Amino acid sequence: MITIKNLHASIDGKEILRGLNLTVNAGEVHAIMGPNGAGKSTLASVLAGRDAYEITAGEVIFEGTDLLSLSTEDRAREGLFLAFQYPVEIPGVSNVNFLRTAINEIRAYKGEESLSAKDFMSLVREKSALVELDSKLASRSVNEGFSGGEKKRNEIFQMAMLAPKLAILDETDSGLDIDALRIVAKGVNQLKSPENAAIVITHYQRLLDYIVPDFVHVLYKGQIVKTGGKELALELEEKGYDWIKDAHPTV
Amino acid sequence: MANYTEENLAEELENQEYKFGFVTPIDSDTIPIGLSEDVIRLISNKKEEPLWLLEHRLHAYNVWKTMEEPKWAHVKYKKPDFQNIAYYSAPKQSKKYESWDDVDPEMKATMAKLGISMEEQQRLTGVAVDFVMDSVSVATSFKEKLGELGIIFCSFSEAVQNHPDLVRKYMGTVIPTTDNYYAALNNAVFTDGSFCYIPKGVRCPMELSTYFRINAGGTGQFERTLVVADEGSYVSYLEGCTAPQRDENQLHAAVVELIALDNAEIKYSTVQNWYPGDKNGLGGIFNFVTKRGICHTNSKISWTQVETGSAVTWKYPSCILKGDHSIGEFYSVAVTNNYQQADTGTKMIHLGKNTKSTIISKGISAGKSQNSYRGLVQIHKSAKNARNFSQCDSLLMSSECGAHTFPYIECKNSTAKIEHEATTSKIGEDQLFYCKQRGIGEEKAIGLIVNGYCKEVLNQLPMEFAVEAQKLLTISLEGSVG
Amino acid sequence: MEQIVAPSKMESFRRNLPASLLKIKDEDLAASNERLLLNGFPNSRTEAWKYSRLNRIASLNLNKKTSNPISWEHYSLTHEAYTFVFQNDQCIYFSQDLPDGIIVKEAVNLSLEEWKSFEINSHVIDLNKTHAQNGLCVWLRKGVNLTKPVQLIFLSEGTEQAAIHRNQFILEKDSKMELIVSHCSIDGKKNYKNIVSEFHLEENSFLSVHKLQNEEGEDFHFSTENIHQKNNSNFTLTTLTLNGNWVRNDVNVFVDGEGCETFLNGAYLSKGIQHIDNHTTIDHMKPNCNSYELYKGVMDEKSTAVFNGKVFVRPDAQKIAAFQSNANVLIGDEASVNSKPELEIYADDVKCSHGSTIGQLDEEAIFYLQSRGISENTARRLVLTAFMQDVFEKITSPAVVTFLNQVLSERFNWDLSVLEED
Repeated sequence: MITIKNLHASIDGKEILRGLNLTVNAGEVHAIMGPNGAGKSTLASVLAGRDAYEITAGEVIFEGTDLLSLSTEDRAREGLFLAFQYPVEIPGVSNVNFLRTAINEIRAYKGEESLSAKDFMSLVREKSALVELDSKLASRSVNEGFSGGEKKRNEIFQMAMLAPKLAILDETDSGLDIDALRIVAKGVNQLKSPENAAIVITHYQRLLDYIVPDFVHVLYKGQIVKTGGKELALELEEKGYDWIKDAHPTV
Repeated sequence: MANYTEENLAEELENQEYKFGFVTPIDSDTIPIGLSEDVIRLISNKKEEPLWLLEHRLHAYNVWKTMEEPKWAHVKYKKPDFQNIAYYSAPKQSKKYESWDDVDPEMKATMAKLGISMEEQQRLTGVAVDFVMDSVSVATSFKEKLGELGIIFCSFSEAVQNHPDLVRKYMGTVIPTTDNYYAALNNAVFTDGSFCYIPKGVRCPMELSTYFRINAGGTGQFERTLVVADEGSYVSYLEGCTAPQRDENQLHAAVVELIALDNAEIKYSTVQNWYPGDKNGLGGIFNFVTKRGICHTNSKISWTQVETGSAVTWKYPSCILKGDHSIGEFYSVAVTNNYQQADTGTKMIHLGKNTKSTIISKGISAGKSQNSYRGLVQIHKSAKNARNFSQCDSLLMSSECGAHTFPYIECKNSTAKIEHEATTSKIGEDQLFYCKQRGIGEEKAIGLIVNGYCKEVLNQLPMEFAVEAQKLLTISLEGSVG
Repeated sequence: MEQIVAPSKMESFRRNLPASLLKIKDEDLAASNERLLLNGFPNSRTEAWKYSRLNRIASLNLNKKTSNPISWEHYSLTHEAYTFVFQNDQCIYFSQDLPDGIIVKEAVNLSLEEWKSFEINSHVIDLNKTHAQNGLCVWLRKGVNLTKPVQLIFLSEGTEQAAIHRNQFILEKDSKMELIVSHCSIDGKKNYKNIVSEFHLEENSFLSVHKLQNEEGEDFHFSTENIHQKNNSNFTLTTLTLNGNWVRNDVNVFVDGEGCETFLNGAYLSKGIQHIDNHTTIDHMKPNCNSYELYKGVMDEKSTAVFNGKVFVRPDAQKIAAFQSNANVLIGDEASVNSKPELEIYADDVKCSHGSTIGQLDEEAIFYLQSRGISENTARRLVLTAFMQDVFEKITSPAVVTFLNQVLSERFNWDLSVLEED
């Protein structure tokens, strides 16, 4: 699905990612954990194409294409989805209008016809039920006046609507209470299939009780320093990150 | 990687052809250029006006001659040469058509091009239309049906002939003859416009619409609109404007007066798309308009405007909240581009008790344009418990444009509550990135965001106008859902 | 036909004012005289004077009499300062005890070359240029961090006396100082005060100014501050107008360097028929700067306040963040306020905002406090103090805080320490 090789990225001249390698295959869920400042959100931003970051070395192959040469919107159209850590408010633009525009732009890119209003609305009903999102939120402005939990659920709702190949969840669990977390996880699990994959970026092991990863990676100072199964997450929870820091003082 | 940026949108806007720039090849009866008492007598004579109106014109003219052009607006332009304008131009055979079938085919074609099909309007949408080309009203639809309800909707000239008492009673009561330089000029030389009277307790069942069109070269348009909503009545009134593409600057100096008697409501919407000049700033309309309404007890006047055209705009639709519990509203989107200049806003004059006003102004500046909001909220001693809320936002699309905010807040009553907020910023980078990450291209993303930014104002427009306005803002349509 | 013109108000106003004792270029003096002669006093059609009528000032009959000696110590906020005192047109105390790195002179002793200039005119500045009698001039040398504040006291005394002074402060690179300017009146019988202060902040210099206006009586007060900021400099002006019959403050900041920060704070409290006018302009000439402006006022009885705040962002001055807020509470039935916040923006990558509110005390809050057993008067006082608190919080000088507490408790029975305990 995606292969990241020796990725180096910096912002304002400061190197954040320092030779990151990662391969994710279809049907897999990968968790990326790490202490604050390790580069977790940078990885998400770089893959999505935020232009504040400068890629200084490395390559990313996504479904056979060179991801880094694509514009942000083309990466999305190729099936890469980022659930934002801090979803953005767009006043005056309704959620449904936003999504309908997105879906039809993606369909046009693929040479498909626009979705009719009727089909679109039935899709909205189906997918909003998945994340137990109040259908009223669908007609409200994008993220405007949403609670923290609603914003995160809205991200998963959008993900369900756009049905990406690769979903990157950037700290989707932060700020969620246990009920909201369960709803979000349920949504993610239901979207799982042998054809798609997910990268779950998180600070806490808690989320991984609900979204069971196939692999857990530890990101520290811009590199993946340890990889294991889901038990690694439990070990991290127990021992904390100091254990990693002590093991890799010079990275 | 081709990145579509605001600059691209700005460029696209810049290069976008002005769709209404054509000229209708129609014979016009245009009087020679120049302004004098004789010209005014000639106009009055052509319109077979009563003596009082001629005297009114001459009085206005004599005062106007002593007045000076206002200089305070944040706009720069070459003062029009008032002796180089033809003050009367009428499409020939300008006698009001008896039936739609009599209308000149060229005229019909013009209306169709402008998107006004009288027949269709009649059949489909139930919007009554008055069409004013240059100095005269050409056609008014739906008259009979409105007449059954006692509603008068006709050209100003007809009103002068058929309803002189009403005209004389209300004309000039909101905007004094010599209110300002361009209002005084209008009073001296106005040629036509629309008149509308809604009787007591009548709710006008359809939108009333006037379409203003400048066609002939070397002319100015000086129309008058007078809307009187008698006690307990309601009317929604729409106004659209276009003009041909010319290198010269043509002057449009209109006067619009609204009168909302006790418990009445007037909703007045404008989509102003006069020719803005080319991308080098050549040509375009000077739009110097005085619009004001007076609210009696418990009444409401709501102004909504979408301003995209004109080379220079100078316009402040205002409300005098005279009656207790009356309400004034002003919703505005003003887009300027290339070398356009707009100085627009409103005045809310609170005189009555418990009066309320709301001001929502959204400015978008692109190219090398200058876009100013200028507003006055005035709370008089008598206006106990007056309330005002104002929100003025400016969106900047280019590094060479300007966005300015000049609000005046004057409060003489200690029970008033006034809140004013203004922001000026660039289109949000985070919002753009978010849209793009969902697969929406930059052009569409900007369109979405700008549309969302103007939403509060566009929502105030009647459906049809909102659609036209959105197109004008080069914004993709919102779906029927949501 | 030639008309016989009566001597203009400006001429009769200036009749008894002595010519300036400060060095000024002949052409500058001539230009000022010409403008005054030509334009006279501005009327309400002049935008900057729309809400502040000058009739009462124009008809003053200024004269000069011998001043009674007064002791100024009572008006000093702190002993821990380098203090300079002016009574009407005279300098009556000049601190001798100055550390290295600071040079202070009376304005009359400045040579022509030592004056810097600003390209800005008004009838107030022109009157100051043509009639200034003295003032204080301070140079702070490169890298000097003055540990004690400079305290400048202007006392007015007598009847229809004029106090016209011009001050100049130059802060060289990396220097830092604090200035307290205090205006008081002894008996305040229609005295005219016109103080122009010019501040030149060179690279990376820091200046904090507290200006206190606490003039009893019927004085007329014009205060002009012109500020020029170079790269990475930091300027703060806190204007506290606690009392004043007729006060006009003009603040003009030219932010002519990158990385600058500018803070303008103001509090105005008026009563009776007092008139307090604050006009500010922040001109962002260079990119990457921030400015913050917060002015709040409480108007009692029949008093009037005017606020006009202008933020100007010049072309190419990108990445400017400018925030301005003006809030007013009318507690007097016949009090009034005119607020005009303005933005003039010619660059696109900016974030600017302003807000202006006019209202009353929160009656709900007062009722709530009363329901907890607090008397209505105390409740009102608490709510008012809370309203003003965010401006008072900006005061960094302990001496000013102490003074403010004293004045407010005497005048309003306010107790700011109540809030500090929260």
